[in-house]
Parts: sequence; structure tokens; C-alpha cells
Amino acid sequence: MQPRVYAAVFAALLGLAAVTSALSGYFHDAKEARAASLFERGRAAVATGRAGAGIEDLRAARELDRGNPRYSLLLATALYEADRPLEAESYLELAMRADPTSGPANLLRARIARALGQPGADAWYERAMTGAWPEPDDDARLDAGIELAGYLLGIDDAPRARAVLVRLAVDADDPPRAKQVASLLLAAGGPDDAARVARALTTAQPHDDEAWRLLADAEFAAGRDAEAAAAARRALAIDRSNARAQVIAQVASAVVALDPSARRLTAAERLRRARELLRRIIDAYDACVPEAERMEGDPLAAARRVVARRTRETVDVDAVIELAIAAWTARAARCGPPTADLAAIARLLSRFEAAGARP
Amino acid sequence: MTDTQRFLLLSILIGAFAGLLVTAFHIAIELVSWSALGLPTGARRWSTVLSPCLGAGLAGLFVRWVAPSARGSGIIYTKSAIYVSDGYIPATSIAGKFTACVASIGSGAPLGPEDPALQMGAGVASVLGRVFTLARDDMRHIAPVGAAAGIAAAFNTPITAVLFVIEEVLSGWSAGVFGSIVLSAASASVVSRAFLGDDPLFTVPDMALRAPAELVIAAGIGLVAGVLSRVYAGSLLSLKERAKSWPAGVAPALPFVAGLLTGLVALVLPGVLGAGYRGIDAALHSEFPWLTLIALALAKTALTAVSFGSGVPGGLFAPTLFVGAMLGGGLGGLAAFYWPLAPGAMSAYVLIGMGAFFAAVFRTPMTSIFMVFEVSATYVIILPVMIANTVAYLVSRALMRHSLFESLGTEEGVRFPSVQEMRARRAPRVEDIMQPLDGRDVSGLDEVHPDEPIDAALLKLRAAQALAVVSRGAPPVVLGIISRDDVRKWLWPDPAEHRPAGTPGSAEEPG
Repeated sequence: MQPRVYAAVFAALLGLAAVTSALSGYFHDAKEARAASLFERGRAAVATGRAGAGIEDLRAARELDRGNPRYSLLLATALYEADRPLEAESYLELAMRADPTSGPANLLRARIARALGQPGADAWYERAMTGAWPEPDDDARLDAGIELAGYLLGIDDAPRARAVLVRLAVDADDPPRAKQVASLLLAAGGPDDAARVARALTTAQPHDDEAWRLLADAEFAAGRDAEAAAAARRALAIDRSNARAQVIAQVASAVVALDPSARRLTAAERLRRARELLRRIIDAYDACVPEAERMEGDPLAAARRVVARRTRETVDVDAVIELAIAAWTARAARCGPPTADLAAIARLLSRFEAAGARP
Repeated sequence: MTDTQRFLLLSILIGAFAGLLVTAFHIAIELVSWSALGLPTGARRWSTVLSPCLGAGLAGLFVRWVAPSARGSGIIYTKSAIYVSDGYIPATSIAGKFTACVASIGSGAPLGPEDPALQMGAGVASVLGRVFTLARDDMRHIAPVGAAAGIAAAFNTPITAVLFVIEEVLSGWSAGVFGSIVLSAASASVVSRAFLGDDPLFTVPDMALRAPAELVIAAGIGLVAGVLSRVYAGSLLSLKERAKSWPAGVAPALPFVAGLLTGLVALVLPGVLGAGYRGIDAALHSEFPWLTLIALALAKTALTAVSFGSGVPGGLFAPTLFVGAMLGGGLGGLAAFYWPLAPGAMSAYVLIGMGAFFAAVFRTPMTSIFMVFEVSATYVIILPVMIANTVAYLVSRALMRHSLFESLGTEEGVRFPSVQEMRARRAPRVEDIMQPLDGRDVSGLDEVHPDEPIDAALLKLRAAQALAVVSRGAPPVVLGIISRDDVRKWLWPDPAEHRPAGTPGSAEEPG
């Protein structure tokens, strides 16, 4: 074999390598540039509500540059938002393979799991909370935690939701998020924690009626009617149209004014309040039971005598309250659930019932 | 340096050349598809219709008038080179195949680049073999070495390339060239990965076999794939045959018509354009509902038959994968829709269908199993893939006597040995024919061993009526007896059958 043949073959190989290399260089540059431009166009389209066009561009960008997890993640996000979670899931997996600790990817994974009814969404949320986020990342972690708490409440796991929210409450400095945390704490059955968050919020935002309303709600749920009424009045002082604050102010104030078990009351005042409570229950009963029926056999006869002071027996507060509970039960049997104007009475009596009729 | 060492080194060189060439081929197709079809984002409607028409038509004219050696299937061409023309493949066929297929596939013809890549690889090997003045026998071996390199570079699947060449191109195991095939495939893969990256052909989402019921679905996919393979191959062959009967003046226009049809269908189902890898990727990511997947499978079947039958340059690998993937995904989606036993991920069925249809059409079950793993880089669905492939293969064999490439070869006037035939034609051995002693006396008879080929026994039977069959162990044990009559009955069970002269039992039977 002549060396000239070897040289010719080697030169041909080099030549082919040079041509392929040049072609490949151009191809990859063009591909990356095209992918980047399609990605930006797709992102803009999705942001302006043109999901269909955006998804097509993002799909093409990912097709051209499959190794870029940003493209897969945004495509998955756009597909999820377009209510195509199954497709979104498959692209998201590719993004997560490249970056398994990504906070946004884990959050989207949790959302997709929820949408598809898959188990383990809470674990993805937890990973999102502890994952890597673009700076600044605290708010994103809080949002993931808030979403996790909402999810846990949705699956009736209030204790875990409360545990997550208590953890979040420490970092929830920003008012909108603090309000969300307080609301969810209330829903999760943690009124004391909710009140603590709301109180901090009212200190930071004293002119925010919603902050006061939240505090009122939390105090009300915790059974501290005087505090609830005071907070609700502060909310109404800022915005008189705050409907929930109006309700709380009205009910809590009525309870405070009517409660015979309140501290620092004289015995006479306690009895007066108990009688007043009984009178209101009798009025409520009379309002829904026709007089003719009442004549036939009145279950509230004893109560009426006490209210009218037509009994010779000495009545104490306990006895009046027991009569009130019996009358309330009779009213409920005849008239059904209490109306809004009876909310304060209902609240007081449910409290007495829970305490065994002892104020 | 020995001849064997020289051959191995040459295999590496062939792999490097083929890898570079096929990489350039791949890139050229992509660039043409960007400009002709606006892929991957899509193009204007007129471009979608006209591009495949012009691309397929002009490529058809090119192979008809300028480069006839680039016509038809690259696999048939390569097999012809091995079995008919002593490994000779003209250099013009490489350039012709490159140009024609870039034009046709790049502009949207529903055919694939792997079969042409195989032919280009074999062509490169043949040219290098001639440059290095290989002996005639080596020249016949060099074409499959290049073919493996071409497939490995095109698919980024070195194992599949080796298996495909063994199963389809060589139609059997050949220890003489196995090392060279592996080296060239590896070399081509290394080169193509250096330029195109080492990602598998498809990025597959996570999947798992969730319930044993999925195996039943896989078997069902295999069954349907086997039946559809009959339709696919039958329509391809029938259209190719029919195209021959058209008047000479009409034939050059057929690729234009095929391209136009492709463009019109693409207005409704854009996934049918080109090789179809984007469509497969989309199916793997659950982009299409099952009904669309079935429609794509049927449309691609029809368009592939029309395009290939009318002489549009391009290969059958990619469309076969596409049809199988869509069929699998469609049937998997259908099962998910109607069957209460919640089946697994759609992407698993896409891959199962891909492998099953490939096995059924090309009759290469081993290749198809490994191909599924290599193109997807996942092995979690090995069991359903194996079941579906086997069912598809068996159904296809039951419905069609010959594989697609055997039939295409016959249609083009050449007949190659197939793996099936080779298995059936295994040389009989003494143990296949020998009879029990049944008290016969074998003393004084010549001896023969049970594992000897029957030819050896026949030579001894020229001088004797019967031979004693003895074991090779020590001491030897008499296992049976073999006589001329036994051989005669084995060879011609029907006594009326014609017997060639010079064979045992014929009129001219020797000795």
C-alpha cells in the first residue's frame, strides 16, 4: 500500500471532519438562537394570555434545546395553567431530572399531583419549601407553605396544616401573606395562633381594617368576646362597610352585654342578665309558635313565671340558665336553627351547654 | 500487521467516515426542514402543501435521471452488494442518496433517514475497501461493517445497529465480521455523539409497570401491530408493484403526487411530515388524544406506502417507528379510556407499540427490543416490550410468509437468505436420522458419531449399507444405526418426489 493512499484517505477524513464541524457549529448556534427566541416569544405569549401560541413556541424551543431545564419547566407551567396537567407532568419530569431541588419545579409538581389526584402532593410542597428558588426566595417559600396548608385543610388534615402555618407565622412579615396565614390558622382551628399573627399585623398596619377584622375573627373564635368586639369596632372605625366586622361587633357586643357569667358582676346583675336572656328566648319562641298552640301545653310555662316574677321560690342564676337552655332546646325543636338576630344568644347558650350549664 | 488486524483498523476508520457523513446528513435534513417547512414551529399553509410536493418530486426526478444508484431501499441495495456484487457500491450512490434524501425528507416526505444512512455507511465502507484493495471475500464483508456504522450514527444506537446488521443485513451470525461491525458501530457513535450530543433519540418521561394487566394490553398492542404490519407491508409492496405498470411518462410525476398528498394530509395532521421524530416525542409527552394517535398511524401508513411506492427517496425505519408509536399510544389511550384496570403511562405504550411494529415489519425481534431501550434510555418496560414484540412477530409471520425486505428484494429481482430460512436449513446431523438398534448386530460396521454432519455419514455410506452410531465418550457406546434407507427416507419422505441424480436412492446412485 502506497503511503500516498494513506495520505489521501487521511486528508479526506480531515476534510470531511472540517466540513461536518463547520456545519455542526453553524447548526448548533442557529438552534440555540432559535430556541432562545422562541422561548422569549412563548413566554411573552403566555404572559399576555395567549396560551395556545405560547405553548407551541415553548414546545418548539424545548425541541430545539432539549437539555435546557428552563424551557421544559416553563412549558410544563404553561401546560398546567392551560389545564393540561398530564402533558405538563411529562415535561416537568425532564426539568426535574436536570434540577431535582428546584423550588418552582417541586411546587409545580405538587400542583400537578393535586390536579391529577395523585398521592404525595404534600411531600412535593415540602420539597418546594426547602428547595432552591431564584432570589429573593423567602416569599416563594412562604407561598409554597401557604399552598401546602390549604392542601392539608382540603384533605381534612387540620393538625398538620396548623403545624405548617405556625412554622410559617414566624416568617410571615409581609401583610398579605400574614393575613393568609392568619386566615388559614383560623380555618385550621388555631384561633390563638391566628390572633397572635393578627395582633402583630395590627401593630404593623394599624390603619388596615382587614387586619383588625382578622383579629376580631380570631378573638371571637377563641371565645374572647370583649376583645373581639373591641377589634371589630376598630375595623369599623376605619371602614364602616366591613361586613364581617359589623357582624362580629354586633354579636360580640351583645354577648358581652348579656353574659351572666362575665366576671366582676354583682349577684343582682347576674340574675338580671340571666332573666333577660330567658326573656329573649321566650320572645323568640313566641315569634315562631302561634298563640293557639302555646295555650294547649306550654313547655315554657316555668320560664315565663320566672321572667314575670310570678314565682314565690327563690330563683338563682343557675336555675334561670337551666331554664334558658331548656327553653332554647324547645325553641329549636319547634322553630329550627336560630336566625342571625339570635346569634348572640346561640353563642352564649352553646357555651353554657359546653360548660355543663354552669356559668 | 495481520489481515485481521488491518480489517479491524479499517472498521474503525469506516466508522469515523460514516459517522461524519451521517452527522452532516442529519444536520442537512434539519436545516432544509427549517427553511422549507418552518419546523419546528410550523409554516404557512401553502408551504406545508408545496414543500413536500416539490421536495419529493425533484428528489424523485434526481434519482431517476441523475443518480439511479440512489433509488429504492438502501437495505436492499446493501444486501445486493453483499450477496450479488461482491461488496461493490459505487461512490455516486453515496452522493446521490445524500442529496436526494436531504431534499425529500427535509421538505417533508414521510420517510426516514436511517435506511439511506445505512446505505451511505455501506457505500463508504465499499469505497474504502477498494482504496485499500481488499481481497474479494473481505470486500463482501466490508459492506455490513459500514452499514452498522451508518445505522449507529443515524440513530445514536450502536447496539441496535450491530443487531440489525446481524438480523437483517447478514441474516445470521457471522463470527468473522462481528468484531468489525461492533468497532465500526462504536466508532460511528462516538463521532456522531461528538457533534450531535449523547442524548438518546427521545427524552422519555418516567414510567413504570404498574399492574400485571398492562401485560395484557401490551400483548393486545402486539397483536394489532402484527395485523397492521401486514397492511403496511402489503400496501407498500402493492403500490410499488402498481407504480411499475404506469406508463413511462407518468412515473416521474408520481413522487410529485405523493408529496402533494402528504402536504394536504399535513394540513390536518402536521405530524405526518418528515421522519416523524417530533411527532413521536409529542406522543411520548401525551400531547395527542388516542383518536388522533390512531389517525396519525393510519395516515402515516398510507402516505409512507404512497411515497415509497412511487419512488420518493427515503427509508422505512422512521415511518415504521412512527406508525408503531402512534398505534401503541392510541391503543394504550383507548385502554385507559375504556378499561377500568387503570393502565400505565401513555409513553410506555408509545414505546411498546414502536418496538412491536418494528419487530413485525422487519422481522427483527431482538433488534427491536434493544432499539426501544437505546432510543429511550429506559429499561423499566422490558417485560411488556418483549411480550408485545414476540406477539407482533409471530402474528406477522403467520400473516405474511416473507419479511418486508425479502419481499422488496424479490420485487426488485434479487433473493436473499433470511434468518428463518437459515434456521430451517441447518445441516442435518447423524443424530437427526439414526434409528434405534432394535437388536440388530452392528459388529463389523464402520462407525460414525451422532454429532457429525450427515455429509460425513453419506461419504461413508458410499462404501457401506449401514453405519454404527457410537458416542464420543470412553468407552464408546453404541447409540444406534444409520442406513442408506434411513437417509433416503429422511431426505424424501414422499417416495414419489423427484430425486436428483447422484443422490442416495436415485437411478445413478453410486456404490
